[in-house]
Amino acid sequence: MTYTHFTFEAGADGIALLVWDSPGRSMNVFTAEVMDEIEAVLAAISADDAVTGVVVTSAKRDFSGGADLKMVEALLADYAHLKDADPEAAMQRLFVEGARMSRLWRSIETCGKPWVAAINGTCLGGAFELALACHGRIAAEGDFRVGLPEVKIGLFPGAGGTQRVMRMAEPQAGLTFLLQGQTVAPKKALALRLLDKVVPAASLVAEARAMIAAGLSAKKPWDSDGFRAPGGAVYSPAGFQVWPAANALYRRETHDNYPGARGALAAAFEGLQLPMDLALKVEARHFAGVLASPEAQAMIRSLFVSMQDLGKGARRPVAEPPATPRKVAFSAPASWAPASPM
Amino acid sequence: MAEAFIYDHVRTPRGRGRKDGALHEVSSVKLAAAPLAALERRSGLDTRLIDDVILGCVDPVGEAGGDIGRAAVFAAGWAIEVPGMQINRFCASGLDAVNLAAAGIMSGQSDLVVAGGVESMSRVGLGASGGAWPMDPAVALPSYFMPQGVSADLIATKYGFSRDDVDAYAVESQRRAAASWAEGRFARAVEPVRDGNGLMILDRDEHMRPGTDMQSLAALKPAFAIFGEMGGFDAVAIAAHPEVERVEHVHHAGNSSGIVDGAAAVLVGSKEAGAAAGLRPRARIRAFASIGSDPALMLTGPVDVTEKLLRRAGLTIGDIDLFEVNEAFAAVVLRFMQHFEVDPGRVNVAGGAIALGHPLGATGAMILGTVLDELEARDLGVALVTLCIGAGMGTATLIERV
Repeated sequence: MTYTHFTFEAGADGIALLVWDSPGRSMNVFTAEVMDEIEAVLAAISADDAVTGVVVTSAKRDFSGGADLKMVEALLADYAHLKDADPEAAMQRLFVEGARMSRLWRSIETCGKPWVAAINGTCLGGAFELALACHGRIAAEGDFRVGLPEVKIGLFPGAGGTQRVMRMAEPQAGLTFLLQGQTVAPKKALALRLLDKVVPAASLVAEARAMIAAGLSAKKPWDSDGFRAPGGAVYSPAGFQVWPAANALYRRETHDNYPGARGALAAAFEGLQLPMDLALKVEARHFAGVLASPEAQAMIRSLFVSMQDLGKGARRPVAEPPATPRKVAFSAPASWAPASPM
Repeated sequence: MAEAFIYDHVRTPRGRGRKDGALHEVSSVKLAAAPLAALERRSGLDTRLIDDVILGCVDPVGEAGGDIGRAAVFAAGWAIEVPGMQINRFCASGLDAVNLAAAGIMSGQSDLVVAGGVESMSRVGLGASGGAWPMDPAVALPSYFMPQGVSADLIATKYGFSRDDVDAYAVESQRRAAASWAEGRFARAVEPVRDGNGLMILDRDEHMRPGTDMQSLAALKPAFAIFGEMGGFDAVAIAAHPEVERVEHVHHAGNSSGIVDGAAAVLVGSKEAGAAAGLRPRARIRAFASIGSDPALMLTGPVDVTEKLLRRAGLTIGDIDLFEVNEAFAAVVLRFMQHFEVDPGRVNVAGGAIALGHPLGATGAMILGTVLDELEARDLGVALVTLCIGAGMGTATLIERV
């Protein structure tokens, strides 16, 4: 099998190495085409009896920056186009399409063969959600960050992030991680219980293979009967120590102006009371609602699209050739005088 | 429309709501049954004439769960024909039970109904029934959920009640409650709780601290500062009321209602049913209302509902002789008196829940009885009973002696 964005190499031990390396990009991101390929890879692996497990990693310096927000923009353009004629159909489409990644990660989680994410560098947003859906997560030691920064651009982790974080981390720590859109060093993610191991970069893939060879289960704890989230039941004395304060702190930190953070909070609260598939569906409902909000759309535009353009000097005069400054002069008006200490 | 009359009312003494409280050994059901048995004995009624037993209970779980109204009917040994139900509007449940009973009688669908409430706070525990309000973002956020004490502190801050103001109010509540006991003014209402053999378990309100003064209260630390500051609830209060720059935490156990065990029952009926049973009516239930109010202030519902009720009844505040405004927290009553400019000498004249305790589901029925006794003792006509309610509500009832 050959793919554009991935190389796939089945080992003699039955463990396949899936290496993400999108051509012509310095950073791997999820586009519709990448998602199509992952779908194809998953189908091929599931059909291939010789493959007993998968290690997924990246050939680039970083693992992945997450979803290409152009995909989100296209989704929103589609929604805007449809909603006047048929608001319900438009929302239905946003709900279904907005959850494509969530469904794909869930099919990896439930495919019956263990997947291990070998995180060699920065791993954010949808990519970290992919890692959370894998059955094992190992990161290389290094100066990079992993996490779910979606709320910072008005969204929230809508591909299972809210559900898996709350089923893995302690509730206060998990909520803080989600609501603040934290990105953390691998060691911190390990402490949060969002990673299984942090190892020297040189042994990353070997450790990932070893994890599968050691008999890593392809069944997630929350897909077994009797699973108990670290925070216990929502409606319990332990839950009462968490949720009233979480609501108050959400308001204190956001003034209730951020539908993304509110969606994450609601998805976490509601999802924890449900089995995983239904929890993901509820998360997707909140995600679609947040996507459709003017706040999220404005934040994506200003904080991501326009910010990227700004970084690339979009308004820079074209005629002026680039120059590297060598000296900087500073001039002050005559009236200027340094402030004297009082 | 038929009229609804109060024929009798009884309450248990209020036991300290802890494991060392005298009523801790009494189950919720037996506690609820005690005033029913007393009403039967005092009225000599054939219980088959009673159309319903409506009991307020705020944490109706465990032994107080299911339908404690029907359970109390069995425990009291009443006729099997008497149905029972439990209702919950938090702290006003006992008064709402009376209002619901009155509604059935006024509409001609009931003749005699027993209404009241029960709460064994020592056995079931405050908040034991849980619920979505503080927990679920879908409710907690729009309702600006915060612990009630933080809301009480917000009221004090917004309306300018100092720590001295709320403490002075509490001292007076204790003084009045002690005087009421000393003068025997609770004698008719309070029926001792006895065991199955008739032996005394408790015959006096246990929470009172006669002799409480400003100095003893000054030693108490504000109870809700930690929730406000650490839990983020001060920020919620300020988000809802930005005119308050910071919340001054002034309430503590000494100027808030006491946690106690207790039950109460009121016999409500039509004129004809009372006459047929040979009973003398003591008061008419003239009007009642409930309302939703600012959920962040949470406990100012008595003001809103009183305005609504006065409009409904075509009365003004000056037409009311005596008021019972449940002393959930001192600031609740201070705000009520401030808003209506009523004479403190007409409000909670026998002492209130700060001194006597607030057995949540029962209190509304208890203070209705208290004010009726006070109307009679002072030969006055009209009283208004109101309670603040969690999540921002108020319920009020107007009674008039006949």
